[in-house]
Amino acid sequence: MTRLADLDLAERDGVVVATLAGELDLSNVADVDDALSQAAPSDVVGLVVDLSALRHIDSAGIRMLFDLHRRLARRRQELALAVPPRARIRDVLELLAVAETVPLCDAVDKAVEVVRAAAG
Amino acid sequence: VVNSGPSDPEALCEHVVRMLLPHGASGDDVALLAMSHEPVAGPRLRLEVPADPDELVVIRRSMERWLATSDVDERDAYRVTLATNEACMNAIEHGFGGPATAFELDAELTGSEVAVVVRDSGQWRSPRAPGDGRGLPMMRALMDDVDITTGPDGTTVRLSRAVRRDPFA
Repeated sequence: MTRLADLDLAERDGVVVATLAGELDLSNVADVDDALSQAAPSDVVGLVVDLSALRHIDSAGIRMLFDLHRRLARRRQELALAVPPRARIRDVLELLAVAETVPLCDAVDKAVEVVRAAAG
Repeated sequence: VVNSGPSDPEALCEHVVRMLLPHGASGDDVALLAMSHEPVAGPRLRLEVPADPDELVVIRRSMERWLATSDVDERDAYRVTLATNEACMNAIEHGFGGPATAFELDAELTGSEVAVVVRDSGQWRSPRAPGDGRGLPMMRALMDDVDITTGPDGTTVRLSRAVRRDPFA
């Protein structure tokens, strides 16, 4: 969708699973933000962003995820992230304490469960 | 064979075309490709970068290549590259759309220490940065030492970190 990143959308049990691959930085963060915001219409319970194929994320990308989480929460939709434990970008997510705000799961299945559980 | 000519690729192309076709182009198209080879290996990496977000990926690739050819451990190289990316993001914010259109990146490897200097001609704006003020704590966590100097001529960010070097990796 942008020169650096690809976004793939699927639905699982009423949850949108967005797979973001490539690199997320200041050059494409606004485009990815738009695409993710549109990916979760108000009739779905929430959104899982699968970051397992994302090779780069920086503070601009983390900020986008926090903002997205806040916007979805306002519509009573949950956001969860899926990142394998050994992924390189996990360093950045842990450094900026992302998991304190946005649920961080090792795999997509678990993230979908978390979103569904939060929706009740 | 051209033995001598301008070192700038574009000027070199013009030079070759003038030599081959002194009377200008004939009816056919002429295509000429000039490549300049700039080694990134060595104890130092210096770049002058336009203040454009599209340059960040170019900077990351250059840093990764330079650190890899210098046998720096992959995990350490990732951390240094990430911190440099944050410093450059701030420099781009300072210069983007303004009169300061370029900034400098100067990275040096001495023994097992990497030092990176990012120098721009704008003012440091940490809370309004694209990472919402997260860039600075990130740089501090990734590097051993982070120093920011702001003056009337601009902002200089100095980053340093001890790295593992493994020539057999």
